[in-house]
Amino acid sequence: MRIRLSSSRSNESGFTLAEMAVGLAVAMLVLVSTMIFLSNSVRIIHKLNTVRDIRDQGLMAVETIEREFRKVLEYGGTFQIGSDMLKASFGTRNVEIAYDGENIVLTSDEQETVFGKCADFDITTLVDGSKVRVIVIEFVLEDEVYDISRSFKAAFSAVNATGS
Amino acid sequence: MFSQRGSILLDTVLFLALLSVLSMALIGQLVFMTKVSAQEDARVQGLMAARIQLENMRTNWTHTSATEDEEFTPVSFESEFDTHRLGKGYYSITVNGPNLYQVEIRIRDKADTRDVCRTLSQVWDK
Repeated sequence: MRIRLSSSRSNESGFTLAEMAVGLAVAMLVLVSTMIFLSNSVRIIHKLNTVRDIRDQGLMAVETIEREFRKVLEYGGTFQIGSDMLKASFGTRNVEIAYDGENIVLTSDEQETVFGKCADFDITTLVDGSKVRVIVIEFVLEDEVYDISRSFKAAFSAVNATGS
Repeated sequence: MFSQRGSILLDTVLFLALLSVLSMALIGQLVFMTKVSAQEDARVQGLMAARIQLENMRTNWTHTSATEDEEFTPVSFESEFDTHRLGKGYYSITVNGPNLYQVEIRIRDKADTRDVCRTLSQVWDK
């Protein structure tokens, strides 16, 4: 007695092994692509947040540096510029900014403020003859994880002060 | 059999379409955030350049009358670490009183399409 399997099987619902394999492969591909895409998106968002943090920290450093040195040099005072540091004093008030190769340390009347992580630090001046009119402090803040860096410049007048 | 497979195919197409729409929305948002971040970088550079220009003008004041849109080159932020994002700068001076001047500084973006920053300061010429 022969049983006709083919006609009865053709009415069964379901998937063949090949269909299942292809379906799973496509599903895996979609899943992995989605994971990679989401992971990259999260990385970009973290990177943008880090950029914002560096920007905020840099702006705060610029404002603090300008404010502290203006207090001392705006109406007189003396200053001394070194390779990686600037000292200024007026009466009993003293301000110093120095770069230790990793951080910027601002010391104002014994109060210490640290800005980091700094990749580069430079002090330049705008002069008339030998007279320093404006001191510009340039520094670069960086984040090594995302390889981000932003440069900042703080500027203040030294036209009423003496020094070199 | 065909109706069930057709239904699964339709579900798959709808799922992929929805995934594409969500991905496009996410990409759009990321591009927008990146653009806004670059604009903010330009604004911060413009702000610092404007302050340096003002200090430069203030410590070497030669103006006695009002001026309109005098051009200057903003200080550069081009370095091995960062990109210069600024175009030309302009300053205007108005006389506010005896020896008292108001300085408006505006700095354009690199493509010269818009102002990245605009500052208003007063200078007293002793």
